[in-house]
Amino acid sequence: MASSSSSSSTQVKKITLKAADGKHFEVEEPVAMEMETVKSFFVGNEDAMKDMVVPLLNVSSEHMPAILDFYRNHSEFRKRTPPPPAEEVKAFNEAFLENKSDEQLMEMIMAANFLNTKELLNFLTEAAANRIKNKSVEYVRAFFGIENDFTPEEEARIRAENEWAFDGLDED
Amino acid sequence: MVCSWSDKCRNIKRMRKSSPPSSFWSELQYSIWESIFQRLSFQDVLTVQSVSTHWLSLSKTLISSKSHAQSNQIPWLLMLNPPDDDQEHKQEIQDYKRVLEIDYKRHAVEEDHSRYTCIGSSHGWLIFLDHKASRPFLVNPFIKQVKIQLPCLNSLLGILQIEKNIQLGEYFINYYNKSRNLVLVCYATHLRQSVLHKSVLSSDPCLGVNSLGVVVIYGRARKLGYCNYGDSSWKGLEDGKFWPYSDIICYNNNKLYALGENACVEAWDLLDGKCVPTKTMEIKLCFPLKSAKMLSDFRYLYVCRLYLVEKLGDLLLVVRYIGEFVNGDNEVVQEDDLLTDEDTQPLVCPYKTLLFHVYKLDFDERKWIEVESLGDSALFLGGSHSVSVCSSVDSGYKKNSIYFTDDYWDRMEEDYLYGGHDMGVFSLEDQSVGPIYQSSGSMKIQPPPCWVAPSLW
Repeated sequence: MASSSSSSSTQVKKITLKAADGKHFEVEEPVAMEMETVKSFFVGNEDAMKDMVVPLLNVSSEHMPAILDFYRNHSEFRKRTPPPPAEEVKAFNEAFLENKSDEQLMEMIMAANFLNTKELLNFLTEAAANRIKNKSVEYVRAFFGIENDFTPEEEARIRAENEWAFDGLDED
Repeated sequence: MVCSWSDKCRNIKRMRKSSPPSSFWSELQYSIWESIFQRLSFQDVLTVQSVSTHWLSLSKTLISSKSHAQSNQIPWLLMLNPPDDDQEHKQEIQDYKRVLEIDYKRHAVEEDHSRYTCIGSSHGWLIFLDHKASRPFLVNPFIKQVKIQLPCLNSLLGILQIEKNIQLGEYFINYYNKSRNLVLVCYATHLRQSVLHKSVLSSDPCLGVNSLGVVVIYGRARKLGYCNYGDSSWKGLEDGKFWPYSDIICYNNNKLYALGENACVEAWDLLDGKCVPTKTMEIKLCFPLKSAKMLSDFRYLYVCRLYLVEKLGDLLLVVRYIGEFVNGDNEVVQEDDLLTDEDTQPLVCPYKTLLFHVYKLDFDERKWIEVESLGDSALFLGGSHSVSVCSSVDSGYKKNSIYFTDDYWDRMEEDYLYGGHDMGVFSLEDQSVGPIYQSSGSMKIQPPPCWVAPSLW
């Protein structure tokens, strides 16, 4: 845990996080504090910082680098004056989501929910919403891996009830 | 264009071979689902209702919580086809913030927008009349691509055909007199007078279109008619006694209240939009003396309009006094005084709302009792469904006030300098009328603005 203490004069405190599968990640304190779950771990317990390892039970190590990258970049965006152009933020966000499977996206939503960070959670839920927009029921079921527990009659009735909203405007 | 339901169902794509166990996702908190659902369109939320029983209840919860959150918000001021060329006016209405500008050609779709008249709004939906076909329809300014078509009004009104003379801006209405086997042609300058005076919905169709009932004040006699969603024709509320009606409102679990002649009140149960409405109340009342006296003392100088509003469980009668000719100092003048011997140009003194009286119905005593103050509430009146809003915190409106838009249909189109202009805020506190935004009340606006409740989406 003492690895970072000697290197530079402007010392950045580091916090060690432990992912669900046991892998350790050393993270700069301000970045770690973006996560409410980590922050609350240290509330009223500031002396503990140096030695303690924060266990993150619901976050797999697979997603940790990406999540930390998101925090680092977005906290930098927030601090920068003048604020970064919208395109730059958009480009980062798009790159972040690129190559992420639907399953990975949903796992990250679970992680962001556990870490209790609004910004990341909002960003990811928006991404999930975008992926199911204007899609079929079957597509949405497959996306979330949800089993249809309606009887065929029930399902037909619900669809029929909602049909009116899909008629479009060119009916007459 | 939204793809149709059947298109959606045809393209079934399996996304991956093995899905995560469903228990994994059902562990997600409601707040996460809500956060995802909030970002979907109204149609998407309806689509996902048939994903599973869990999702059905999630989306119903979302819709009802949105409805609850919306119910006490102040309405938007709707401007149809706002003029593009007047930048100053544009800036002012933007400063008011709660102005919704829509290009109604886009919503009514057809190129020939002279076919459509916006009759008013109710529960966030606009009621349009397609006069060529005599068919009203509903559109929601916030939800794209949805149009609820209602039955043709002709048989209810005994009308064969309505034609518009574009040059004169008048309508020719052909009535069929069954008993004498005659066709009568009448002229009308606007359709509210002879076809559709007002229309309200029993509830927001977003909450379930199958329980939707639509009520209208129709025809020259201003009687009541209704239809339920899916009906092929309108029916008259034949047990309504006190026509001509001035206002109708729906609230409190599909109850319809109607304000008839002499400020008498009747109520019907709309029974979830499924059956024939049943009459539940009939109160014969005396028109409030104070207002009656005011109207007889100032006959020819003022006209009045009457509204029925529900406020925190009370039923209110609102009397609006419109000065027929009002000069720049807010003084009512005689029409004869407008043209003096010296002037060849008449003064422009448009009609203007100057005063309101408010009464509350005492159900036990069966009379209207004057109300001095509306407390924290504000009322929103005009061609729209009359509503009240009440908030103890500051929520962007003037308390103890009446917000009004122009609904003096008979004189709205008589002059190129005014019409649609008569809107403002009346304060019960100091009995004064102020503008809604800086220049509101001073220029012609056609079609006239009206209030529209913020939509669920």
